[in-house]
Amino acid sequence: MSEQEEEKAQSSYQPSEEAATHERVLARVVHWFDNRLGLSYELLRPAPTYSVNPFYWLGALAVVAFAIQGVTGAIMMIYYIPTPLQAYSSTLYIFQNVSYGRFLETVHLYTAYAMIMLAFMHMMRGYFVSVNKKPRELMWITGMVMGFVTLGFGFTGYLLPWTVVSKSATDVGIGMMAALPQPLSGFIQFLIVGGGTDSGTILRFYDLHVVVLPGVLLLLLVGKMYMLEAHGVSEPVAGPIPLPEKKRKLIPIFPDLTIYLLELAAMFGTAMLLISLAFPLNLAPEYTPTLAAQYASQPDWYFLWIYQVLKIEVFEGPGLTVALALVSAVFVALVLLPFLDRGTTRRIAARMRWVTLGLIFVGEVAVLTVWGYLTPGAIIPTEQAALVLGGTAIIIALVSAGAYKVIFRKLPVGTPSSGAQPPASPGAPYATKSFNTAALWTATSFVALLTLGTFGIGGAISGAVQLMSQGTRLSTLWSLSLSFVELSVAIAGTVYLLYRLDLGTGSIRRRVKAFEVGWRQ
Amino acid sequence: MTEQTEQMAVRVVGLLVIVGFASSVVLWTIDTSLASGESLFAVYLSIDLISFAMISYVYRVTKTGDSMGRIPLLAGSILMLILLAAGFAV
Repeated sequence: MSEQEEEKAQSSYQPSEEAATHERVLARVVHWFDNRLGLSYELLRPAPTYSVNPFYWLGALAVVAFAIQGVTGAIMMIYYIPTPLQAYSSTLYIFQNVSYGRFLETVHLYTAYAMIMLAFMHMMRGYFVSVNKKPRELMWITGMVMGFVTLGFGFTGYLLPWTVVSKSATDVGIGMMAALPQPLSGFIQFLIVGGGTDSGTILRFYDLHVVVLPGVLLLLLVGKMYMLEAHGVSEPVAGPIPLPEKKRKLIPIFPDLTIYLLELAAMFGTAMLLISLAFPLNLAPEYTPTLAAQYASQPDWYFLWIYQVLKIEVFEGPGLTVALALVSAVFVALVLLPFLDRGTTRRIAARMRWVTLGLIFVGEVAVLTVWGYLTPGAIIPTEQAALVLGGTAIIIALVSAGAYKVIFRKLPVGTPSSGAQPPASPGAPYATKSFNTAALWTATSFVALLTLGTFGIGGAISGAVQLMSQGTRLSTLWSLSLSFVELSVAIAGTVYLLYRLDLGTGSIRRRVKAFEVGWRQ
Repeated sequence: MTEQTEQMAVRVVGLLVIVGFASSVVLWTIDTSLASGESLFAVYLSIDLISFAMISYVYRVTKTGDSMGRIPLLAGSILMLILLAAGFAV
């Protein structure tokens, strides 16, 4: 066999005799690259068709964002000077004198934001569909460390323009790290602050941002890709309907999946370009100690939730260490998740506790971030924090419990009073018009009860705090009793609704006839 | 894949290649010293990326034998037209 024939035989992309002209031309191009790069020669594990879905490639998009930052950052490095005296002026020079300089800075910033957001979404998707189960525990831990490195990029890059906003926020961050227990505090201080001078700090931040962190991230990426190659793309979470054979079909990484990823990357790039065009970056004034005294220090949005926790009154002063320990505990729990969530099933229906915990985490992070944005520099009273954070957790837990009850309940054995008929055979679809109406009513009732309950909880806590701080007043007592009535109605209504829902499953041990009005067995 | 679908794919890809090529040419002619240069650069680079994404999409669905969705093509075309209009306005 000649060399050319051998090449053709090795490649899986041969234009057939019947193929159209464009297909033959494209196949020839693909064939040329494939022969030189050997991408389809069993080197990379083929991927299942179900992975042609953007949710499977959120991490890959974060890598695309990292690549864009690499390119834009490399151009900015030509002009940027990492000294306290010249950092701001060189940034301003890029803004005003370099062609497309402002645009370049804006794209760099927004892709950094996108990278953090995509990494967070990638992590939470992995959490909810439980990809961390055996044998992917180390992939999860590697991914978490990559997430911390991504946050490190944000922290170190934020200081570099040396604006009053960035310098003040970084000073607050460095100050907080001093509250960490030794030797961790000493090590971090040595790593990022050095001798304690401004010039030492900015140089270390620059070094970490452009050399150390990219190197670490690339190493971790190689490790994660190696593990992905070993274990393959994770199976979708098992549902009631088995995945069709067509979705299980394997497709080669090159060119099929590569083309899909390029498609996603192009759309992501377009989004970044247009967002940067619509919201160009404005450079804050240069840092001076006098100007800094007039600004309320505020970190960038991705650290706001941590900052908001640290601003709670009870964590002021010596309590700061406790707050840092709490935040650290959340991070440690996330890293060790594969060893904490020991259940063997990945089904969302069977993991209510973990899914609810995840939803509470996302909800609390969102609430704290928005709250932090709205109250820069303000100390948050402890009672208010307890009310907001506790209320958020309770609402999410109740909504999650209700949703689980409605969505994942067992098939009914009786006939619901709404008139919905059970499916003809077990496992058959249970979607009739009357069933849908009943489900809609149930969901609406749950939402109404939760709203009432939320007001009840909020009002009761607020009333109790007012009683303690302002003494007994008629208005306070009135609002407190109203809150208790709201809460009682919400609890009674929820119990009644859950009872009615459970009637269908036949799992109720103690029947209450008064609750069964209109129910036909 | 029917012959009709194949012909449509060829036409769509041909048109997108022309659009992508034209926007690349415009990209190289932009005066970088002008303030409007930044906006034009972003607009035409976006058109380029959208046309690339659409070509990839057409190639992928043609190869796998899936039905070519009208919505992605329509959405991409409308977005390109809006960007083109914005480019003229800048």
